[in-house]
Amino acid sequence: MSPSPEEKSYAVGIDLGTTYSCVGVYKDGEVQIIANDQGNRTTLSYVAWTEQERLLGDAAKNQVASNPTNTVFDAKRLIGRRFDDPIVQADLKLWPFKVVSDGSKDDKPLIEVFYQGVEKRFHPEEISSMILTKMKQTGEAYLGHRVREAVITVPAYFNDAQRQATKDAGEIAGLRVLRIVNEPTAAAIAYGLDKSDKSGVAEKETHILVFDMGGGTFDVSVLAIQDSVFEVKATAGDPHLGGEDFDNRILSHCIADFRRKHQSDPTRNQRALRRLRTQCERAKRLLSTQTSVTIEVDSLHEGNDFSIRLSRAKFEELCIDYFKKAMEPVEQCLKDSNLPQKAITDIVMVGGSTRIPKVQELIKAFFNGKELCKSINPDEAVAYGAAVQAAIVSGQGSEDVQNMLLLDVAPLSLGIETAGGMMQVLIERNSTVPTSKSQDFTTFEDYQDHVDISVYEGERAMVKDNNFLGKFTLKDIPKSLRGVPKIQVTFTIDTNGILQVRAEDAKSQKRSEIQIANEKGRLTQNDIQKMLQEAEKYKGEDEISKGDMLAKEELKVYMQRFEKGIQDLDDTKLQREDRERLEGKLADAYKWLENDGLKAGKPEFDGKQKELQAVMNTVMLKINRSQTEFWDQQVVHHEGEKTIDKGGFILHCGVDIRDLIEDPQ
Amino acid sequence: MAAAADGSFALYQALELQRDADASEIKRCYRRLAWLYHPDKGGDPERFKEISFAYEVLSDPERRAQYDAKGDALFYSGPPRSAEELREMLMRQGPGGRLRVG
Repeated sequence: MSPSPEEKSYAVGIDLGTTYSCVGVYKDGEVQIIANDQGNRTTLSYVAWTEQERLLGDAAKNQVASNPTNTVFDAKRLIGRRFDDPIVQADLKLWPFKVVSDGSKDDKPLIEVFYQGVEKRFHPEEISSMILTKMKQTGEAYLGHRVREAVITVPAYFNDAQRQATKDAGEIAGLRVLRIVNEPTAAAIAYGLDKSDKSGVAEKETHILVFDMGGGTFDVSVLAIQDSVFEVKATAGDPHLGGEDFDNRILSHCIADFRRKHQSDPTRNQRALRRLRTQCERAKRLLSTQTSVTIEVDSLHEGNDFSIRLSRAKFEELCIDYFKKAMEPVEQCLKDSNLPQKAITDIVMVGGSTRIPKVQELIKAFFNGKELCKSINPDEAVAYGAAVQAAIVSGQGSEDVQNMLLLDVAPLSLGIETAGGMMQVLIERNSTVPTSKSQDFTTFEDYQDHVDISVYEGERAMVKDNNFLGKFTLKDIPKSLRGVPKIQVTFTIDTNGILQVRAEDAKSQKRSEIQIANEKGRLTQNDIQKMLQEAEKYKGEDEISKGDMLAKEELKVYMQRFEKGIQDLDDTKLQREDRERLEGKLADAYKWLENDGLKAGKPEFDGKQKELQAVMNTVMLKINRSQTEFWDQQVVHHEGEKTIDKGGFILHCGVDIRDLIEDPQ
Repeated sequence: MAAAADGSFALYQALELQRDADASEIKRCYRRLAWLYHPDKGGDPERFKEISFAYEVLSDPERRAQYDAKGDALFYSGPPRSAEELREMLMRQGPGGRLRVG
């Protein structure tokens, strides 16, 4: 776990979101949220396949309108679910990419795309692993070190299979997953640290409610905080409720309007849907700060433009059932925590959707007008907390951080099926993890020599209403009359919230056990290995295209400097013929970039840059010879502003000529 | 579990508490011990589970009253033979019903 002396390695915290992901690291006594190569502190959870390459993050979303069927998002809404899950079936209708069943008994969903003319199928775990890879690389670019370990967050209300699948995604991305942490718990850490910075460590116990509504999932947690111990009292939520559902409502509203106005149906036109959806999402965001907005898409479908005015009131009307539904887990969570409403000292709002005024209004009203805590960044708080947890678990971080302790809970009750299809709960929901519970069971029939243990999660009395997790058999029970054998069943949940079940016959001491998630549609270790290799292959391809892109960017930057250099040299220094020569070269280069540059690789870009450098060098040397004396004086005058080594030149605009010319050989 | 011998109120011992401890003392001791024994702090998970089980029972007034009335006997039918067995019994819940085949 500890880094070897020669190679320092950091453990990062990753908020793997439905629509956006965010990565942070605890370094030099504080958390840094790391910006990606586009300069954004959150990265879109998108993966796309074009004719040439695989694109990750923001780059994938940027080309979505032109490539909708090969641009994949929402993997978090698929992960750990079966293809025939009604939720998956409903989502399918809205996704422009194709999802199919793997045809096995586990009925796993697979995402189908075309890449370089070949059909490719991916598990949701693989898509998530690609996003994790992107976040890992973002961390590595910032730290200048390999990132091998991570804490990854999941919605508190994620079930066993979803947690395990997320952990697998981390492994496929080549990460050792130190811990799966619940998102609202991570947000609470961010809140707690923020508070203790401002007012010192609270010795008095405080209770907070975290309301975490993001792009696709919704969680509520109540925590008690005292002396840097964060104890989750209860958690509740909806693993399928968030901003995307609101986008869909606006989208449906727009489609209905378009149909009415133009008597034509755009729903089969994926490109149209995608363009419209982007505008709907934008409208939703704008409606958090303004009271009405126009959604406009030119030539949306069959040449028809689309335009509609949407008021905040109308948006609220479209989504009000969702907003009201979100209050149920709040009530449930308070009830489960055995706390009166007034015991809540702060309501912490996390996730992009908490910016919606109506959501704020409803929760405020629920708490009789109490002000909401908005001091922490709703987009970054989860990654922030995950980074802190990564530091705690990997033994890095300051004393403050090392002193913190998180006591988290299992969100769902866990039990087994007993005679009559009843659910016998062994672990109650909101039990602090890690935990073990066991219970003695017996046989139903005379001379029964084996029993089946069927494991479920959920709150209903009958197992048929709960979620089936897995089944195993305990064999070779010594035959005796019914009710005589004593079979001890033990449930163990680890700190990641992942369940293991063991059964033992007291007399024969025969044992049988399963790691539940292994049973239910989980990827096997073999699958993971295969995917890991596949991912490595991509890494090679990515490296190549990344190298190409970098070289192109470098060339562009150089050309900009080149252009500025020409402008900054006035006619007293730069002779007209030289100016024309430089300008001509630059114009050629721009033209080349527009045409040949589209399919060029690193060698071509580098070559072009060399070409430009050579011309610039010649011209500069010419200027230098005539201007040396002058520039030497300039150095003295401008000493305070810019120091340069011997042999350097300062242009009067303050640009160092060395930026423009290569090392003199 | 430190003492199975007298063993009548092992849950109080697990939290290092007197039997007349009030609710806030129970909470305070639990958090102090959780801090010491949580696996994140390098503690023994089994010990941590024991502490949280004790807290689960003692922090619930109804369950605490039942436990105060019957002691560890609330959790077992016959006397335990060892500390391990007591620990196991405490974590175990009452008879759980019948299991079918298939």
